[in-house]
Amino acid sequence: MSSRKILIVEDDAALRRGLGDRLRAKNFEPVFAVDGLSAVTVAQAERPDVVLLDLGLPAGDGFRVMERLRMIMHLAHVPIVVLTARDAQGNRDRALAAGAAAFLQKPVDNDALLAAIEQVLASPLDPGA
Amino acid sequence: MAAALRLLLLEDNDGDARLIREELTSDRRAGEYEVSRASTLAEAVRLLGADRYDAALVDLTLPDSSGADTPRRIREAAPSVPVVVLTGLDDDDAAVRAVAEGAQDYLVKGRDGPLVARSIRYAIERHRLLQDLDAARRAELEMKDRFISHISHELRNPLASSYLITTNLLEEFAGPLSTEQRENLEIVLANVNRLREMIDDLIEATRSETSRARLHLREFPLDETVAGVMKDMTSRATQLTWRQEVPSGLPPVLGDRDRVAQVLRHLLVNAVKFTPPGGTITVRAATAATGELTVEVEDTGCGIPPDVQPRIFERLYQHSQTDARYRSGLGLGLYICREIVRQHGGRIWVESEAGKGSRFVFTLPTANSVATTERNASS
Repeated sequence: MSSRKILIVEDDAALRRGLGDRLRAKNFEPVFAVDGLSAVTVAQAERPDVVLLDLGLPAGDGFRVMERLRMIMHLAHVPIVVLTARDAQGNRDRALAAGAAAFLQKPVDNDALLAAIEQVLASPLDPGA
Repeated sequence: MAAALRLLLLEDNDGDARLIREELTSDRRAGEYEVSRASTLAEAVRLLGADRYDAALVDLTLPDSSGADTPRRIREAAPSVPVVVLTGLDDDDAAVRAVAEGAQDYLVKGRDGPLVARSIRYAIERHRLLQDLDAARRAELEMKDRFISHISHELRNPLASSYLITTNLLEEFAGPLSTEQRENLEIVLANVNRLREMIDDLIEATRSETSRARLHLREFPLDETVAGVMKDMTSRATQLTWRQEVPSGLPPVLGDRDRVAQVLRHLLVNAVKFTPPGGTITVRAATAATGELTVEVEDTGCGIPPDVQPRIFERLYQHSQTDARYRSGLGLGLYICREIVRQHGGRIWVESEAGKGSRFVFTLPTANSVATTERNASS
């Protein structure tokens, strides 16, 4: 089975490392971005199958990243899983409305993280949406 | 010269009203007054709603109100207006009660007349200080909650990476582990999980104080939720006997499943904490006469002395008499339980005897009990 490319957008270096190692072990190919600005350029260059996105980021927060990815033709339908330390209250609905396919709160159980990523990969966004 | 003070004089007796006006105008040093007079409570409430007043002078006995009720209703109508009570010599008790409830001062008619101007000045000043103090206290509470919410959020990132990196090592992504390395990492992971539970509790407790968390209400079967929570707990405490007596035929709960699971988890964590090895923990549920469900968590632990029972649901309460090893955690668990149960419109209480164990009981609404409550409320 070919590995699937996942873009991890996370400004915390320890989390990038932990998430990267875990996803690599689960047959993903992780690529990384450290802020909102590089998230978009890395996504354009790497064409990931799925994006794992933090909300609190320097240089354009996660909402801004989603907005910009949605405007780029070949990235508009890449599923996004939001993983944030922010409160679910308020942020969950806002993230889903902005186009996220799933919302997870840090720290998330490993099984729940994998299940959410697998699920959004299995049911890609409706291209008409 | 300062602007005239606007006074509302609520006095049904014309003679008394005239005397008060005379006292107010006799002392020119005390400043100018603009006095509006009302003879009934209803008229006073209407005037307070229509105009701004600096203070109200309120007689207790009126055609449409009497006793401490009068100043109480004036303060309800205009909380920002300080109240000075006027009373007869024989009606001191009601006046004292009115002051205890928030009136600024009282004056006995025919005796304290010369004091009226000074009393009003003091009442206005004191009332203003109290309101400032209230506003400051509220602002401080809000700031405290914002601060806790901020640090809890900041704690989640290092917690998330500690969890990930520890589990990555335990699953040997970075190479095989020796038995001793594994044991040490298991300890790290257990502590990371404890920290996580405490941070979740902290966030939950501050949230229920400021903005009430919204409940996602829907019907769900209680037995499945109980089984899910118990499965997780029994594997953590194998030295205890676990019993589940939740019939599968119960009507579904109308509530927020995650929140109800949280209540159960907190009660079970407590039961485990206070029950010695070999003890038994039982979860029971049944339908009450009201149509609600009652859920019980019973243990055979050390029990709770009667004098502390009323206090255990308070925020940050921890029983100082108990053994230090029981005093882990933040003391927020039962407080969170009570808040969640209350948000569902239910009740929670404890039945316990020292040395014989405890039984925590809470009620949860069903579609049936909610319909009954609404019918009763509308009839």
